[in-house]
Amino acid sequence: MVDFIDYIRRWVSTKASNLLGNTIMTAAIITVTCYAVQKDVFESYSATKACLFSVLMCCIWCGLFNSIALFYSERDYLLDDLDKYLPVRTYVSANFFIQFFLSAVESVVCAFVFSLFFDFSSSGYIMGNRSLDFCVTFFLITLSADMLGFLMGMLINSITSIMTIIPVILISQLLLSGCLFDLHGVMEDAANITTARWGFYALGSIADLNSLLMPGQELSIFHADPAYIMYCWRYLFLLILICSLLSGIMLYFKMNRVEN
Amino acid sequence: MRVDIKEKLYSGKPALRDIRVNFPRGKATLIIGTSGAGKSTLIKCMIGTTSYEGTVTEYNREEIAYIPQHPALNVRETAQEAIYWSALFSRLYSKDALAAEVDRYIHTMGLQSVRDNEIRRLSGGQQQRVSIAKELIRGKNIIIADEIDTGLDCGVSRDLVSKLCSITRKENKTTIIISHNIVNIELYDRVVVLVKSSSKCGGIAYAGSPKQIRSFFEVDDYVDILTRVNAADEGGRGEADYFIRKFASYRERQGKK
Repeated sequence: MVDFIDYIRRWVSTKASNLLGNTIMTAAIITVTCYAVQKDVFESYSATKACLFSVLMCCIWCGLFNSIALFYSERDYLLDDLDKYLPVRTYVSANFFIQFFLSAVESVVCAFVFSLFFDFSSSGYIMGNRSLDFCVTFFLITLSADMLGFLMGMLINSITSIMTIIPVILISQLLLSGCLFDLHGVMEDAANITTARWGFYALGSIADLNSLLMPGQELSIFHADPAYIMYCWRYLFLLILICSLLSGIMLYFKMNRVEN
Repeated sequence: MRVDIKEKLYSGKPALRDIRVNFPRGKATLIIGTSGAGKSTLIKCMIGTTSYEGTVTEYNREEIAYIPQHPALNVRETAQEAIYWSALFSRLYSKDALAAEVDRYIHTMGLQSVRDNEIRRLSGGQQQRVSIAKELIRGKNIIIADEIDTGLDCGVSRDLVSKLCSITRKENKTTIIISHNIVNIELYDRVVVLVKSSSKCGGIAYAGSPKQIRSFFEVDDYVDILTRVNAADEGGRGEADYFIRKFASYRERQGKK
């Protein structure tokens, strides 16, 4: 616990400016996005769906950027510190704490900008207020993407390689979200392990997308009820947990590897 | 620290063979050698990050402080902060003693004038001194420095090595420095010359005092040692095999005595 606190203290002493930088960047991205897609949102089905999808991708991008930018900016001395005196579990838990905080701040910013641009019912499904429901969903999406980025950082050694991989991750999230077209078979199974799918379902349910459909039409994926939203949140939480644990395990093996 | 590596293979091909050498306490040893002779591989064997056939004894893995060629530092920290955090995480010092120890190592490494400067504003030599201070303050008994003077001018390099050698003697540490810089050879207590044989395998061509090295290699200038052992296609005279054999028989004679 002492190492954990000291690591956070050390991080804050030199990296706190990252918090501000990332938050400003998030605010800028979400503002531009909301401005671009604001027409007919919460009035027409397709406009709302496009808006939610755009905001979802913004959150995924911000999450990925948080961890990848941070990890590669400190990679060299961090691996040296981990080799010498910083226990892997301390680093993984401290990093999770930092990213948790960063994602929380960014989601509040996202939810604030989102509520400024769009007029939607204030009654929430889980938190009592719909802005808060959106905020929690933004948070889970951002943190989930963040942990995915962290896992990628463990798997890929160079910043050049990760820059090649990021578009692949983003495109696969984009395709597997289920927003652009219906998925079947293997694609459907693969989609179940993506942040985009569960984030999009949660956002669509909170926005009550089904109520914007023409009479007689109903999609089975958006259910504006607390149980279904919790179901989507649980999946996002599970993805966060899996990526965090895998990152820790990968890092442990990386640090204790003996080459032949 | 006693190294006895019978063989180290990379993809089935021998990279090191018959490496028997002692690194005594209180002495600074220079490991010098030709390119591809296996200096870095030898270090990896010593710090336990690669497997090999043989033994490295009379040491504890936890006692090793490894100083990399390129300082691994948080460039946003000041020199003092970098040393402070290293000391803090080592958990060796009480809260009261911590500041005094940081101060001591800042003085030892001659960093007083730049202690409050961010590391990104320091020169290569100053960054390397911070990196060394970070390791020294952790109180480890074995210091392994990997080409820490690469890219530094001769004066800075000499100052760095001189400081490290003097700390080694004063604090009774075992220091092993890999370097291509042969001009500082007289500062060390011992020298190990690692060469690449004609079969492209690393072997020892000399291990002993720097005072006798010129007569062993039959040269007047230290630089000529490397000229003699370097391969012909690298501009040398390709006599590595001869000196490996010469040293093996020299060691055998010493053993009998």
